Amino acid sequence: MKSRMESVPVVKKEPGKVKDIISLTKGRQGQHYKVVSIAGGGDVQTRLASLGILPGQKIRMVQPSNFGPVMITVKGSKLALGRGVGFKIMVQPISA
Amino acid sequence: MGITTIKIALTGNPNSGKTTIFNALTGAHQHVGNYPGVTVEKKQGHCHVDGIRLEIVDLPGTYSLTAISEEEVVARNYIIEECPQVVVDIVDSSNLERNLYLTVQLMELGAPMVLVLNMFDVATRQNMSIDPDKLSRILGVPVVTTVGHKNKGIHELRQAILDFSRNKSESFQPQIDYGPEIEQAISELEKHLDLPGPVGLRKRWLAIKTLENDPIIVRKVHEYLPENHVIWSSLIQVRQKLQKLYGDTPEILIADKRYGFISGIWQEAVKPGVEFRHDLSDHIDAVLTHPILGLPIFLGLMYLVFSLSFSLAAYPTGWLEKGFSWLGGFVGSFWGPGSEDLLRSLLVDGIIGGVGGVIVFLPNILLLFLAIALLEDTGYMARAAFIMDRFMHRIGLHGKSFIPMLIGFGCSVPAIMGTRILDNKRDRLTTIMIIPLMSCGARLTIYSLFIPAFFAREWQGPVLWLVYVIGIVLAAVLAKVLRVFVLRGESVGLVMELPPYRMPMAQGLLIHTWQRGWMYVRKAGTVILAFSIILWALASFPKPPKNELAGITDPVMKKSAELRYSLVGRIGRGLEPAIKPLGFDWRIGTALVGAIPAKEIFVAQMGIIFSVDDSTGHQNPALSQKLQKNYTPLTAFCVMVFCLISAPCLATIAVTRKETGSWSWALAQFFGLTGLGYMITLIIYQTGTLIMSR
Repeated sequence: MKSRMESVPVVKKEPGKVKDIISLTKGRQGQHYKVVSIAGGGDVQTRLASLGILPGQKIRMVQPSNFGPVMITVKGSKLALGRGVGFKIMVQPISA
Repeated sequence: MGITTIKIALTGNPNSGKTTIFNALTGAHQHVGNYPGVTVEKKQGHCHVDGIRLEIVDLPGTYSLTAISEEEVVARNYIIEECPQVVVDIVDSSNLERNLYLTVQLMELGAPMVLVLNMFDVATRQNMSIDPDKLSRILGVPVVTTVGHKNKGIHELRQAILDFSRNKSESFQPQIDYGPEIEQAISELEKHLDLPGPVGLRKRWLAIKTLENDPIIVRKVHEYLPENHVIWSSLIQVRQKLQKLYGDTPEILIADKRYGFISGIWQEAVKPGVEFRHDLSDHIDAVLTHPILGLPIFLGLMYLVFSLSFSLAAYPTGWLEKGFSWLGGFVGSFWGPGSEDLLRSLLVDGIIGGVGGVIVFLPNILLLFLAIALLEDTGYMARAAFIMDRFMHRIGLHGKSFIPMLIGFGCSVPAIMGTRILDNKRDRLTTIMIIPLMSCGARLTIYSLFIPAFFAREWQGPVLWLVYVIGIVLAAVLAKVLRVFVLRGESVGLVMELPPYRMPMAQGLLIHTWQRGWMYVRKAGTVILAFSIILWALASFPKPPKNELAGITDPVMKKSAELRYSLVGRIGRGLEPAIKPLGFDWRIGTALVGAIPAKEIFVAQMGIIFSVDDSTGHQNPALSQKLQKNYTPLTAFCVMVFCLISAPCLATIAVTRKETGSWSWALAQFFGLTGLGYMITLIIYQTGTLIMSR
């Protein structure tokens, strides 16, 4: 069985362009991202930090969703993030 | 005299195998689950090594030592206040980088630590090469490798704990360098932190936590340093300065530096391999949490769980019923036929009838709990929370709340205790309040009496389904109402680790099932036993005067007349005007009053009232016939709906009181749900009557 993630072409974009920055909820399946910023109160930020999500961190979108929570991997563990949380995480696509 | 006991605390991330190590160390029977945050209680155990007693506390699994969740605060406070001689930090070797985040914070706290690289075999299988000696040198702590579920390295761990507690002075732990700007801020705060009292904490740690604006530490410092103390203006100043400089809050900057430190350790002591464990889990997730397929698969699994646990339980339930009716007959036989001895009545009708009626349901409950434990231990439960998140979001909760709600289909008591996995207090309260609407196993006894008696075979399934759905829909509405009007405020939302799928261990499943089942048995042994006796007394006294019973020769008729005269009968008759609009008569009223301690009692009460001389029997043909003669299907349906919604049982009230810490929530739950049940039943009965009279 071939992983679905492999079949998605990796979008190669030059890093650093502001227009690339999207909210994590708009992420694409299998794409790697770098966290640019996390909006919201200190609680959300601290909570995400304890699970490894910080600005500058690389993450991979495992399962995006148009109306539900998203699934990502970060530092070797898999996390489910509710839509509200995902919306607050701004990311930028990077090559793997 | 040397040391005779050593106090030890176990810490670690959820899913690091902490509880398995605890079991291996102490031999105590504990649950091992895959769902994050299963260890919410303080679990204790002990063992002996070289004649020295090791007293071990299993702290809640946490990712961090901040003050965000109750578990983190519990774990942190224990280490600070109880000063265990050794803190054993258990990390998942295959997920080392993230796990070390907690380790580094323990190091900063100055905890006397022994590091355990658990699941070392998984890391090896992933071709990951971790150098424990190097790790030990860098962190300045003893490092032990273990494979918890195979009992590997446990002996070495015991020895390491012992050695460490004897030669603690030799240990040296490094300090994280936060870079010039943050270090300057830390030393600025440290200058002001000469607290007068015996705080017993490292000044540097206090300074870092103050800089992080940790609410609990800030409050603690406030106790010593008043509002006008220079430290508070200084704190605002340094925080602003850092924020301006880096564009991030000091909390984030500090977390980032910690990860930087870990990354340094990682590069020195670890050679990463391939993460094929996650690849396998990814493949499974591609199907099980698929945006479209995920939900139908989940619903199908739920259907399987319920239908299997009910159909498989039918046999042992039948044996138990036979057993109790034999026991009743056996105990009764000491008095001879037709005896009216009070003791016989108490033993046979009160105790064996009341408690037996609950125990016969145990196989059902155990199977349901086994299925739930299976879902938890494989890692699927976290996926169910993920799948349900978008629906739960609409009612103002998030996916994690769904897990205790699911357990609620078995029994509300463990379900309400299970809400501890929710960090947010409002989420937790909302979930606790709606759990009684998840139709529990006890209420199924009522349905299984009424449904076969009143509905044709092809309608029995849909009617049962409808009752469950009414509960679920009401729970959703109630949650939304509570979130909009009472428990307002935003919650962080779903942030949850999805552990890799794992093969459940038989031992773990059995322990987990037994622990929850035991709660149910204990309920039968305590609350239900006590109330069975009280109810028996209420149903037996006062005895009618002899002349009223004159002429009644049939013993069953006599019993019925006695019940009518007793206190329960009087209460039931007193209630009749209030419940008449629901289609209920005094007999149903009497049974409803009787069912307040536990829903199962309703069936037994109906049995007594209709003078069917077998109070333990469900689906009793004699009782069904009497019910058919006296009530309509509409009334039967209304009884089921009313029993579903109203008056959660006393054990539920007690656990709600305990878990919310206040009687007001428990009483609000009881009266609120009873009022709701009354309204809904009234609407159904009146509408139904109207339609039928046309």
